[in-house]
Amino acid sequence: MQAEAKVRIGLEVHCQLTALRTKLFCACSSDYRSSEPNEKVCPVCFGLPGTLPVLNAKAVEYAAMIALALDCSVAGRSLFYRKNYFYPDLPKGFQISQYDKAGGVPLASSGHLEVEGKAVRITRIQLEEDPGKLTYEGTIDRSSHSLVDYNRAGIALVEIVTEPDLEDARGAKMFLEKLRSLIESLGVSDGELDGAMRCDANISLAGGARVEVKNISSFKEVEKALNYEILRQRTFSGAASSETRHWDERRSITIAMRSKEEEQDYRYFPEPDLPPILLGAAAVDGVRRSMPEVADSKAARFAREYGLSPQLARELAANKALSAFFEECARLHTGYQEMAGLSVSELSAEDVTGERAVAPADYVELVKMVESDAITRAQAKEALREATRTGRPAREVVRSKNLSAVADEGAIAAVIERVAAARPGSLEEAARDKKAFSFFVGQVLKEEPKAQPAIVARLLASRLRAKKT
Amino acid sequence: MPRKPEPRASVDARQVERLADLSRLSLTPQEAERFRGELSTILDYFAALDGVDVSSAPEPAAPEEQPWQREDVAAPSTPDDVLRCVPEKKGRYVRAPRVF
Amino acid sequence: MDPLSVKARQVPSLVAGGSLSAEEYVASILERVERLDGRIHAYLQVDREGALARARDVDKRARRGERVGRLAGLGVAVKDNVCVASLQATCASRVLEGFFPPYTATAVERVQREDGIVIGKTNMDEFGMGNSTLNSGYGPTLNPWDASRVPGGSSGGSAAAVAAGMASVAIGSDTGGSIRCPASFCSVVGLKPTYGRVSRYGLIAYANSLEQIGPMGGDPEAVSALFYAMAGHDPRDATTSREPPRGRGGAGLEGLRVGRVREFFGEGADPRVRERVLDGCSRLEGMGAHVEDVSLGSLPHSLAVYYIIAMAEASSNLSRYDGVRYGLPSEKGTADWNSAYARTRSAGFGEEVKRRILMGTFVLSAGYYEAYYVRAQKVREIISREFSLAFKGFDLLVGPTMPVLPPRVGDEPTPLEEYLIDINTVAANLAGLPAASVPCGYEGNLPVGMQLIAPRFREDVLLDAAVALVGEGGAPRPAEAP
Repeated sequence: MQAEAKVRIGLEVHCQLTALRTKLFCACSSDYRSSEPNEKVCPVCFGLPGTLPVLNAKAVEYAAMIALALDCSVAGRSLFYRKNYFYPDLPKGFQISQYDKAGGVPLASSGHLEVEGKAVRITRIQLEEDPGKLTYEGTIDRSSHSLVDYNRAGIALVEIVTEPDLEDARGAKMFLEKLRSLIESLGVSDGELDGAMRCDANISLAGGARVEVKNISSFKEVEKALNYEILRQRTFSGAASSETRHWDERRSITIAMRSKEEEQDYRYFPEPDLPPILLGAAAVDGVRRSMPEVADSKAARFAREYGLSPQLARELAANKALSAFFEECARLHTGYQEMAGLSVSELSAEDVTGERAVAPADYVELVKMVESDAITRAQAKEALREATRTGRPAREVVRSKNLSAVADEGAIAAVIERVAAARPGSLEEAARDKKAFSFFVGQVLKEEPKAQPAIVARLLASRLRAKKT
Repeated sequence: MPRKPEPRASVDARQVERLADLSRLSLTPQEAERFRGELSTILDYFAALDGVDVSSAPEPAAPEEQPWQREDVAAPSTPDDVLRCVPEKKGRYVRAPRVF
Repeated sequence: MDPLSVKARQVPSLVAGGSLSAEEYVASILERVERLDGRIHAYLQVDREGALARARDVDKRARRGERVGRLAGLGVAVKDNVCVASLQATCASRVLEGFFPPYTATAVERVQREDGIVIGKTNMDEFGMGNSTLNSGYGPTLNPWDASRVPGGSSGGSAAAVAAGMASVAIGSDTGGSIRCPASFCSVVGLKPTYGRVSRYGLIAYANSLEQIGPMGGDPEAVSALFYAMAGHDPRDATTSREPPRGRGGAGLEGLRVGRVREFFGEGADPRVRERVLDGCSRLEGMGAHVEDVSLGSLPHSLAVYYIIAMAEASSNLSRYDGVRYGLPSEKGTADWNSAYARTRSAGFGEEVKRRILMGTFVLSAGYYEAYYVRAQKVREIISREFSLAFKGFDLLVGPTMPVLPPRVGDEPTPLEEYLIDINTVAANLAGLPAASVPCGYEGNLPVGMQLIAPRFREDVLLDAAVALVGEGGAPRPAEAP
């Protein structure tokens, strides 16, 4: 069987800065999703003649945050360019965007994002405006007119362009998910909102031409679209020509665009109505200081400052609410590993932020009980579940349910003997094999849930030694 | 040292058609032919710039002031004002020619 | 009354003091419009009722002793590419027929705040593309000095309106000479401010990086008052300067260092024009200025640079006219959008506009962008630098505004021939410098204007010089328009 040709995928992600209150170049509210058609419009975003764009300073700040989080270098002086093309959803007949050719300088360039240990290079990041939205009168095929809603026109978009470093559809999806969670953790965009994050992809098979797939409206569709396109190119191997295709969500296929749309010549040139964006070293530092910490660097810090294992630090940092909860607890108590471990395994974001949230002081007390062997970890978990279900403090649950560890070693020794009697030969196995030893401990805990696993293990070990002699 | 002028072809009919297409203008054959000639003459005139030594051209001056930007504060939209300008509407939508 | 019996500069104080009724004054201007504009065609639209209502309001406040503005009672003609809410703004293009902007340009808003009274909207070359006002979708404007001649352009309606006494002052716009050319041909003062001095919000764009709104009028003191009313930072235009406008010293021309730019007197210049402007230079000397010759070697390139940049920007600016959101409705029927757009645009735009869109599209298109647009921007920087150097030795640079006398209406120059007469005016736009045209003599009854160019933000020098040159009496009036 012939080896399959290597696939190279690059992505162009468009992300609305949904945390902005206003559009990119006018003071219209950016909150258009629940609006009537053409309700969030003004002379500027409607492209009436005589109007001028004025840049939203916050948009620059948010875009710079994304750039820094992706380790990009931010341009000290970047420019807006006009991308000229006609379409009924484009009010001015050009889109105000940025460009990396023809003398253009995008906001930031040369970054990367690590996905499963592999760096995906970020080519550039730029600010631009979203066009409006087109719908059709009647059905798509039999429509005599189109209908335009300009509410979305002028919404601030950040475009993130990657190098073709991705190798399959799954990898692309992982990249996009990580990118989304990164951007969400910055607090600049809510990727869950309908159409807030969209993506175009370019796909090439080794030795073949580069094919662009446009119009992928959500990340859910990306994997489907890429898999379809890879299969298509493999099937017609050698026949893939350099072209632009559209993802048809309804039919789940990519279709070639008409040649007229393909022969675009966007005639980029500098936007004369907008001064350059200046982001000197001091301004970039300011943005950096105002940035919420993103997951990767937070994980590194958790490992460094609190001595958490790398795995635990990553899991904790991935959850913004739990991270914040943990850090509050860390101010009250130094049992970091236990506090982090128990939060990651037992708590969700809602458990520490919702109405019935566990209070850090209460949680710390519970952890202290575990550490002093007053209760077992299993009991602590039980108490937490009850506490988050009812909203009662965990300590009170411990009291009312009478949770406490069995400290009587004689009673535990008796359980060991009972288990040994029920399974002849199991003591011998435990002496020979570590796995069997753990299994034996487990059996004892099953019989007596209040027993501390450490005590059971110690008593079992001495029992085995006694047997040998 | 004066730059060697780049050779420039005058505009041909196909180019005029392409330009008209790019700028969404429909030209009669007579118009197209007239523009073809005029564009060629004007481009010939522009070719004088080929002789200018631009290697010493200064970079555009740095802005004298911090670029003006807007705070992210919303002002009421004015949908009634702009929709009044629209020649053809359907409900609250702007009606445009079909795209398929 | 006869509006010409009062100097424009005196109107605001007379109205404020109650000795002149703004209503009567404005009515007399409207009466002249009615009598003369059938022939001149300076206006596309006259706001008779609006103007009278505002004038009455000014009078009422003056009677009550309340504060009235510094332009109180002045009748202002506004070029049709400058938006005034509730008045149609067509830019003299059919493509904008029926467009009533819901906003007023910042510059006009400031004039109205000072109680200037908008008389109406004036004719122009479509979208500002021309120097004759023949390229109007609504018929040409004629020169009040000689109805067989063009008034210049593109602010030809504004210039003709003030020259014929159909407005006290006027607002124009200048992308490559569009205020100075008609000011020269109609014998009025016209000022193109420094780029960034007056807000462009509400000015319908032709070429954004070059153009400014500016004042025009026969009385330089009134032109000055109009300029200061409009000038200053506007949060709606990010290209306006936050530096406050520099006030006039009001000094004479004693000691002023004036450079007579050799290239402006070059081979294309009509010798009669050259003579009149040299006379003007002698008058400057007579008033104490030191006049010397100076050469700016890159100026001959300015015309090509200007047209490349202006056409490039225009081709993009004019993309929005598709008949979908405003203006001429897109073609009815069920044509697909590409052909519907092309039909609407072809029906709505005039010939010169189409020519410039095609040219602009060409210079920006793949394979040509570097050779034309990028190269033009580099030469533009060279020209700017040359001006900066020249202003180390001079306070003012001068020459003929236009190299020719006003052309005849029937002349049919080729497009390039028409472009060539902009040779002296475009450089100030490329370098963003303030420049004025001031009447400086006549050849028969045909006016000749002198162009004055100053360093950035030194409109004060231009206005002081204009006042000195024109003198107390204001610019002469054409005999044909009594």
